[in-house]
Amino acid sequence: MKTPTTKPLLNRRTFLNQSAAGVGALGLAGFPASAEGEKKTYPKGKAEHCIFLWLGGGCAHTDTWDPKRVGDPQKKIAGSAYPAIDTAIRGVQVCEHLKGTANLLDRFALLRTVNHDIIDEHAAATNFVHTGRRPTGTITYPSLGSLVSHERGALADGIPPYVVIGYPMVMRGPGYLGAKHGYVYLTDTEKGPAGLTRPSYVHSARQADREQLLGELRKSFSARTKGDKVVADYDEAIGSSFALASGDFMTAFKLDGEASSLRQAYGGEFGQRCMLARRLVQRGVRFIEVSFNLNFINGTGWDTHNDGQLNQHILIQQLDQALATLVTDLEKQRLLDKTLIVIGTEFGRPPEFDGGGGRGHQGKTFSWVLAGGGLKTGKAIGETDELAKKPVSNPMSIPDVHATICCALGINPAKNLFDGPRPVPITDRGEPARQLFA
Amino acid sequence: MARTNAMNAFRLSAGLLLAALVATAAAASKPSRYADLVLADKPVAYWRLNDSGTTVLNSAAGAKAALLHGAVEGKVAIGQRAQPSEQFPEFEPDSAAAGFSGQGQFIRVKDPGASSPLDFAKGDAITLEAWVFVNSLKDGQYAYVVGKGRTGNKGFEVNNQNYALRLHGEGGAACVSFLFRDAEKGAAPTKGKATKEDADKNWHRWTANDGFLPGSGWHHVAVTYTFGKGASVKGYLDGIEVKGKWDMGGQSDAAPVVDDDEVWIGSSMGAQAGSTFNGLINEVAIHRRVLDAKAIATRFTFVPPVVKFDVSKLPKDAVQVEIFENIGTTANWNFTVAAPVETYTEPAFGFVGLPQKYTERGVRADRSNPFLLRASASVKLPAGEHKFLLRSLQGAKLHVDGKLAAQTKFISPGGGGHSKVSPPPAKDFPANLRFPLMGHKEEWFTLKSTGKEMLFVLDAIIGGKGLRPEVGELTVSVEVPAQPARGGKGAAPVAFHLLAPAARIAHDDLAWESYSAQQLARLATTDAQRRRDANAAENKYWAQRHEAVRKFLATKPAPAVPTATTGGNAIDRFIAAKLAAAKVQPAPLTDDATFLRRLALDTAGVPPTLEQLRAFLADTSPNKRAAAIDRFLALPGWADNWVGYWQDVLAENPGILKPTLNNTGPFRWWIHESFADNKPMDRFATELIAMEGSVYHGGPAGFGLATQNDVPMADRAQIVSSAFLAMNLACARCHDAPYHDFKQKELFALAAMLKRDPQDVPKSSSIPDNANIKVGKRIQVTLKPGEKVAPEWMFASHGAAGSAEFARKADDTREQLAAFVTSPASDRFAQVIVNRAWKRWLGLGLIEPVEDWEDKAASHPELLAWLAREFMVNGYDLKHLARLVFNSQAYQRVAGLHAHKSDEPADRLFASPARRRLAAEQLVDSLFAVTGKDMSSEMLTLDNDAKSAAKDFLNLGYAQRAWQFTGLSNDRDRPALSMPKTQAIIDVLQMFGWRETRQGPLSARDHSPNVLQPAVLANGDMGNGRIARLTDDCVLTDLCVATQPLPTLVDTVFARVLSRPPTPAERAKFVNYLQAGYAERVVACGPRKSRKDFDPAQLLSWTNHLNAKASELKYAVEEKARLGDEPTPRLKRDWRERMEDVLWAMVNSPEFVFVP
Repeated sequence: MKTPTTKPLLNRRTFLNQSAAGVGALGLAGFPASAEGEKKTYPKGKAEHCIFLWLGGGCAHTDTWDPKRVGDPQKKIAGSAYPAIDTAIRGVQVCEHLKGTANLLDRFALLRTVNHDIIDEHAAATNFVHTGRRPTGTITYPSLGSLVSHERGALADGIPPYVVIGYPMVMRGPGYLGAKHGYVYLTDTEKGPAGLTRPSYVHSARQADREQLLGELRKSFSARTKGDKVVADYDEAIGSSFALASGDFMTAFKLDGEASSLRQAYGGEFGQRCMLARRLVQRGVRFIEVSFNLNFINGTGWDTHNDGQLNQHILIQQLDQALATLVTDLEKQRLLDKTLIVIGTEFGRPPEFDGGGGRGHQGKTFSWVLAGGGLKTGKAIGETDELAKKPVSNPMSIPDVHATICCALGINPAKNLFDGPRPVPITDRGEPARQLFA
Repeated sequence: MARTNAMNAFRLSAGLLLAALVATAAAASKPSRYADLVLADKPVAYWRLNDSGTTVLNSAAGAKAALLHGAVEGKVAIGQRAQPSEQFPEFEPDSAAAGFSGQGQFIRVKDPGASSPLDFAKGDAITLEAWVFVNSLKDGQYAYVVGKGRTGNKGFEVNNQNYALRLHGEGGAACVSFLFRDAEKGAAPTKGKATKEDADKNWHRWTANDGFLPGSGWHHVAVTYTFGKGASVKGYLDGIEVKGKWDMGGQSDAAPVVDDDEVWIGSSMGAQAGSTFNGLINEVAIHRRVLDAKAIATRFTFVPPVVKFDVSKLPKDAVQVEIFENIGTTANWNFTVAAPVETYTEPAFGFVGLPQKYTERGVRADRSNPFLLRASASVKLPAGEHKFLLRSLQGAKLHVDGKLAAQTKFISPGGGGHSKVSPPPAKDFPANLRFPLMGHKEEWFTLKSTGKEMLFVLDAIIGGKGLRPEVGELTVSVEVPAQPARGGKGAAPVAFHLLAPAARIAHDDLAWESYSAQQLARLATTDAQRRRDANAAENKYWAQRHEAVRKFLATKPAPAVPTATTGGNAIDRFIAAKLAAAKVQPAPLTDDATFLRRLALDTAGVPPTLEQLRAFLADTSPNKRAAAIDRFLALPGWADNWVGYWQDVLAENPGILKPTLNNTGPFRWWIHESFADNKPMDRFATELIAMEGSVYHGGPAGFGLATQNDVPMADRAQIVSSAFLAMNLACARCHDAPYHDFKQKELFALAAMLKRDPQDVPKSSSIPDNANIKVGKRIQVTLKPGEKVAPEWMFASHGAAGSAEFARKADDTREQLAAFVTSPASDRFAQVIVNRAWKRWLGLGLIEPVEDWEDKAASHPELLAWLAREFMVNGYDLKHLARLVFNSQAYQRVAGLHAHKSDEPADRLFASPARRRLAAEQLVDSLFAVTGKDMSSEMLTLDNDAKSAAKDFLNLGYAQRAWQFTGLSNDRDRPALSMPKTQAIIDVLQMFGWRETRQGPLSARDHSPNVLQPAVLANGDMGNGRIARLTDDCVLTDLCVATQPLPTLVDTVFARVLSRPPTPAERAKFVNYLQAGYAERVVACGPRKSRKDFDPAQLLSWTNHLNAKASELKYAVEEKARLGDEPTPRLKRDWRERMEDVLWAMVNSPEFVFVP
């Protein structure tokens, strides 16, 4: 049997042959599960965009979103590194370095019992939390970003639906969905996206000259290959690429257009990335993964072994500043309800301290955080035990988290996609946190 | 660079030369120095084991020394030859030792009673030392050297170990181990059954992490400890402290058991065989104090066996290189060598690559790790004092006329990422001397020459335990007076040259790059010869086998070739028949230039060179296309052009950092060598299935690795079946395939054949109960998790009858599987390969898709059958097949003229080849080829200082062709780990369909266009700062500088980049654009800089990537990479930039990305 696949056509109106059709046809009441065997209904949120803040390395939940009694690295007493403070959600505390966010926490939902049993190795866990699947050897799974952009496309014509601000890595890739559902990436807000940003030394007059010369060659080749659709399609892609590279989309990367007070409010490079994410949302990008990969702040980034712990609070403060500003900024722009913010990490860290005063890895329980996106926020879902080593109630698997994100974005988490003839549900039987939906 | 401090001056007196070699050994042999050393430390007991009778004398001083004489029990072989004094100069030539054969022999020393000097209580310090020569030691075994208690003697508690020095077998090595039992509870034997844990609690065992290889000669072992101070333990091997851990009972401050039991040498526990030493023991001493590291260091003096050179047999004018294997398990200088396994020559003391080792089948194999490289030559230097530099990655020693002149330290393996970033080379670093790469050590020394020949011998250890065997850049260079500067300015006062008997090679970047490239090219040639030598028998076998295939096929009727109606070859007659039936006029043949570009891309993977193009166009002979086909099939690029394809099909997936996600070994090197050797394709499949050779360094064994996959062999079985038999068994991993005829059992039986063992079905290879998939009519799970499936070939129709005779090892299921797959009894394998090649060359398969033929029909079944038979009859020779296809009109027609009405076989007519876009690798290779530039990307490793094993960090070297790249594994998202130049190339590769990881096989890439493809070429750093940048190392720069009329230059650039002349309109436009300033474009400037600016990335590796400084430096490197290559100063900027615009336009033209 052959699965019907629509023959991709190059179309200026859509980016990367992406079609967002299909979603609108479904009723408001929710999605009926399309997969065989189950007749489940899933909530349907109204978020249009997703900003995924990636705390690579393994953010210590006890030192951020799930504070417990304070420990002591010197005396090897397990516990949080910092005192906790009250927040805008009654009875929910976060660490003292998340002051700004604490005041806005009613816009957030804390998922405190996320867990997996992937070996405590960064690459394996990073892959798992991005794709929601264990590697099986028979299929390469797409990342959440690729899934969302595959399902929903970009909001505006001719722009990439999926942007990564960070280094390219396979875990962020499109898997069996194919290269066209990959991402555009940039590693630094000072530089635009690789492949779309012209080098600094090619000014616009020079580019115009270049395009003139190229125009002659294109004309000549088109004439010699008349009727050859394969060539014509590629030639059209060239045209679209120039339109994209010089069009409105690229102005998103000119951050100096923003008020300097706002830029300052966002803070350092991570904050600027968050601000850029907001600008990309405004231009219709569907999914933006923002990596907080500035490991020189404390030496190890979020992977706070040994002395990485010493300056972890600076990382947390930067996260807090950027996050609080992002939420208020989106709110001001009336985008918060349409934009789901997700804070993710590959695993948490144990309450115990290692020989160097830092922390090891812990997959058994850790925190992810959602904000905005039109969800019923203002709650912490799931409780952990005394030192946040194990879930006590409401454990959430990574597929559950993915299902929650999908539902928030109006995507049926049980829908089957196809790798050749093989049906693959979007999430691995994930159950959304239904209490977040009206 | 503290080079002046480290300078190591020595002077050679005239006439020393070879005599020096003998002198080193002879001078040191004073009688009995070793005993003096030990006695000076005042041991309480010292058994030299030089005895001749059954009494073992205690040589320690003191009135009661005689009380501690020992007695031989069992067949201890007294008077064995001890340490040879030539290598151990502290020993007398007639020194003897005691031999134990692991059968319960020992030497008994009675305890003189309460508070004897042999008793050690809490607070007492002890040193135990001995010399050992281990014949054998099993992994897991603990052999006693000396211990008190635990003898099994009557009247004593069984577990009364006061102390013991033992050797523990682990990972093939013998490791120093110390043991005692504490008196906390153990003193009062508990009645009844104690749990094992309880029993273990009172034992305290410390074991060293590293050891030596049994059979590797004499070693000195020692431990020191202060009872009551758990942390005080120290172990020594060959005079050097070895790290270890308390691996039983933990560290303890408890008092040991003390009683009046005996001290035994060589065994324990009632002379139990398992605890008995097997080998020689000598010079056992017990001290009642802790000897410090300095004292213990004096014990071990080793003079490596003198290299006896017959200088007259050394090659003149070249450096003789020898490789020695099996020199122990860890990197040290304490070994003796057997005969060299390789002997060859190099022009100079400069090494960047070493010969590969091959199995008898001719696939890459691993050498012992570590191994030794020895380079020797007689070199005559002008009289006077010279400054030298020894530079090496791993430890190396240089002897000059038998005297040690310089020595570099060994790599200290591992490191967590937090190390410091070293400072860059100091300002006074010699001008023009190439900067050292990360992790290289330097030793400077001076040497006075008399003007006569001197013998230089360089010994370098390659690899070591926990390390990759890498040579790095191993050099000896010598300062020479600079050439008098032309014009008196700019020349360096001195220059460094590689030490060489004849060649003159400057040790600067330019000369080194050319020297190292030549060395690698030479090695590639000699490696090919080495493969041929290694597999001569194998070649003969395949020749015989193909003869058998021919005989077998002679009995079967051949498909009839339709009679000729039009021109062309046999292929065209099959095609013509169908075209005529469909009444379709095929496309005309291409012009010559188009043909040659197509041919070059399909053979070498890059466009023709200017010379190839011009020669072909000038050729007027009627069979010039056929001749060109033969010429191009012989180009080395043939192999490069096939690697990427098979990497996809076979899911070659090496990860350079801590392999995950179905990572394999880098068996790309085997693929490349297979196609470079034009290996028969049935042999290729057979070697893959056999999975022999090196796992991590390029053998097909790398295919057997599938990390984080719970049924790797099921995964490999899927790949083999789709690659070679066009059977898609992917679904069968978890259930019977709904759209195929395959049962789950068939896949697992195949997996079992690859596993050479029944394959069990894990839970993950089934459908979970709560899955969203309905198990029922269409999807059935017929295997239960936990079931074991036996090896069995279940695809009889694809090769069974007559196969058995081709399996060389009847009881090896991998060999059987290979024989079934490649059996001539079925032409399925041949058809699959033919169809795959056909699709690559014509753009569309005779059967689609090429990897899954279930229920698929061929468009030209007779042609496919005929080609398959041709292929088989001609020894599965892919080039023979290529020759047939390339000579057909079907291949030589204008492309893209006839769109297929549908994908149905009936509508595939091959009236015109399908328009093919270049594969990603071909595109990138072509871009670098037409501009005549090296890829010069970063070394493809994150372990630049070579401190890790290949299982954790691979090093894929510097890419010369696009297939050599791999994903950069920055899964940790860390700036310090980025490789900006490589990333810019990978951005392009990836956008055009190359995969940074290949978790599964892929037979046809998605070639549909998208916006980001032209965008990444037009805007990316590779297209701008590399390709469209005229640099000094760019062939186009030379073209631009040459004197010629502008239109000629434009024509030449068109020919080079697009393999065609410009149209009049194009010529006019481009000439016009370049006209201004053309006459004045050339700038007179001096010679090229021979050394590049220091690249701060050379200070960085995994070991320091978490250091804040590393990120800062890497950001600067990224910034520099974004600016691109340094432009040539030979062209005026304004004109150069316009020429770069022209280049940019040509490589961004759609014409460039398609096969013409």
